[in-house]
Amino acid sequence: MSQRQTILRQVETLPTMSPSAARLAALLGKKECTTDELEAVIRPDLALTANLLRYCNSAGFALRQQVGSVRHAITLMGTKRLFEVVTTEAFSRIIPQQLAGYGLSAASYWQHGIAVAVMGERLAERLGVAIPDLTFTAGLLHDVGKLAICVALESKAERVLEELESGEVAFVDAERKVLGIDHPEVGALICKSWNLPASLLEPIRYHHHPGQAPEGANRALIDLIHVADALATMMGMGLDVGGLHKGIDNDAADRLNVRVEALEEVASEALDQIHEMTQLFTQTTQPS
Amino acid sequence: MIAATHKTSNGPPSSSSRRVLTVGISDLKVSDDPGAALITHALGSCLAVIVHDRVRKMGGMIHFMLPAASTAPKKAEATPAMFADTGVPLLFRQMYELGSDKESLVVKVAGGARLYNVGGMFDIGRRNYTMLRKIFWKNAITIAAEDVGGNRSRTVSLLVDSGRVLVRSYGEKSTL
Repeated sequence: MSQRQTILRQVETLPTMSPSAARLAALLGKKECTTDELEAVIRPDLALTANLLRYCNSAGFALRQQVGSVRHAITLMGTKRLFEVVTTEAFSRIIPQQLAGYGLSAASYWQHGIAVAVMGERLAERLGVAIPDLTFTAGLLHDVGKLAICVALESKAERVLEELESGEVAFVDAERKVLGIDHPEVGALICKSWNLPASLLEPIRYHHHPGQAPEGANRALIDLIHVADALATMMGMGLDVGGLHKGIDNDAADRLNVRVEALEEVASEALDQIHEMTQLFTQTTQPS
Repeated sequence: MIAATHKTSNGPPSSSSRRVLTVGISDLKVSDDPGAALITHALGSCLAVIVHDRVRKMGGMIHFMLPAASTAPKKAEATPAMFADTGVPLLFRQMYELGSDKESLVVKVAGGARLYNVGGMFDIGRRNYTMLRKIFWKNAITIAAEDVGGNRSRTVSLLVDSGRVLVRSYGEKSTL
């Protein structure tokens, strides 16, 4: 079996998002859904309920009132934020302790996803772009492909590193050269198998090569995730074996009209929120 | 009688033999405990400045993210170690408060990596390093050793008694 096939097999054996998250994604994908319907899915899931309330009552959410019920939480958050928090919570439950081939611990992997999610939103704000729907979730999940590649990468890590040493090569391209597939492509496949919204596929698939996204793709979202990923990496958030072997696409930077000063502002303003959000979902969901 | 085995510590500081103080992102720590080690993880384009008083056996470390406090003045007030121009002077002040003086301090620098294709435009690592050199130049501080730039991430530790600085990157280990 080729490396590629082994990895594709791995996609099928990955744990899926929790059933309640999948049901909510389906509900929220409909044109209309009622608070009753949402509540009926969330309340039986005790871990989700606890985490949802914790999120609502955290400093980052900045409410003056205490939120004590699922119904109250739904009303305050709105469906968009609800979907994001539910995906975050469900995703946090399935991260393995180690992503061996990448030299990443669960904590580092998690921190990187949160950092890209938070910085993606803040970057849009800073640049005066309307925050595209699903920016947070796309940031959180952009490296989901690594979950299925990490095992196969373990035995090939040396070769990927040799590729990197040979010159100006991005880690993602070295990955594709050695394994026949890369984590963005695998990530998009995982999204499909999890039945996540189609609009999440593009930023995951093209976050390293935004220029390759097809006509009609949501460029703003892809570009934001691309730049936020680079920024999180520069700031050392969840660095893996690839180090800083990734780039910023000039065209994406031009489209966003982003300058280094804006990146520095976003990094400085986002740090506290990244720490808080990272903690929030690691405390109850991950024994480490 | 069986002789007791003694662990000699040539490798990175281990929590069994030393008190390990972790310096986070935008954080600084100083220590005069000869049994302590300072460590900071995952330096990307951030820079670590490591200072060691060779006479009094004390040390300090900062892991700053960005060059200038003018980027976010309010953040700089709450978290001065986020920026080179507020954090580095604070590191030296805290060393002096511990009893150190400038003449006894050995200063080392690590980090400041850059994305592999960014050129000058988004090279925050270089901007950090340039600001640091300016601060040092103004204050007549020389860098004894440095491991700066490139595309590697680095983890840096300092043994407070010996002043030994170890830089670890994936697959590589070196003494600075």
